[in-house]
Amino acid sequence: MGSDKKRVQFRAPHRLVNRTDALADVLGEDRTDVLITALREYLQSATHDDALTQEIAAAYYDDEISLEQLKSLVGAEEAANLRVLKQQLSEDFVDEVADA
Amino acid sequence: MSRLVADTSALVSLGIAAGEDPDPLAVCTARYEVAVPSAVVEELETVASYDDAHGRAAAAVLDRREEIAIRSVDLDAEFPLDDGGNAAVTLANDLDAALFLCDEFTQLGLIHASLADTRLVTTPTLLSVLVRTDALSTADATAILDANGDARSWDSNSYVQRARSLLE
Repeated sequence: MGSDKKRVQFRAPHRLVNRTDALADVLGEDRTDVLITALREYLQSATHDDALTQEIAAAYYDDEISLEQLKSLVGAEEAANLRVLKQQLSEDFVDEVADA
Repeated sequence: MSRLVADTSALVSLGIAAGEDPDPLAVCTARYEVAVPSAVVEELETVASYDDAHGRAAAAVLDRREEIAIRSVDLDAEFPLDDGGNAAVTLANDLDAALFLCDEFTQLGLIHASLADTRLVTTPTLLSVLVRTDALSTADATAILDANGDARSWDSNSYVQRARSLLE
């Protein structure tokens, strides 16, 4: 992932933060390590969920996320598939094929 | 007449609504010169042995194989697709076909990148084109897509949902 890090701030329920800190103590890590691991694992599992992948694809078809964002979520290979499908949905593309 | 090369997945899609009026395969062969590699015919024969909607669709296509030009091609051994897809892409490039019809949604990026001057289309998009050119009515195209949605669990696919609205 490299050492390039972005600072983020967020508010979370006390209880969740306390449990995070408790686990960090057990593991001998700090809060940030636990949060990063949790986030990474969540993103990994979420983007392998078919229903969510379809939501991600829909957001891309509707121009709510960019191709770069799509790639970061589903990987380059799946993004390439969805890019072709998005092209299939264009009225201009349908017109071009109709002329072929 | 423009040439269209189809892979196994796409022919199964056209076969799902075979026997309906209008028959999607007949509409397709009326508008395009449809060509497939013999490897695709072999895959259809395998699929036709299954006792399910896909098997019946493949059998319906094989029953009408005289409407399709069947060619033999040399496989590109380097190409990471199954034999039917591999041969169909090679045939599309060899014939410089106008269209390559394919419903392997999970491999479209690779297939798209492997086609030289041939446009890749999926069946939902081809149905839109056939509506646009008055070869099919919106109602008929929607019925064909519905039949495929049921047989292939396409209904939760957000691409197919949007393609459905393109038919209107």
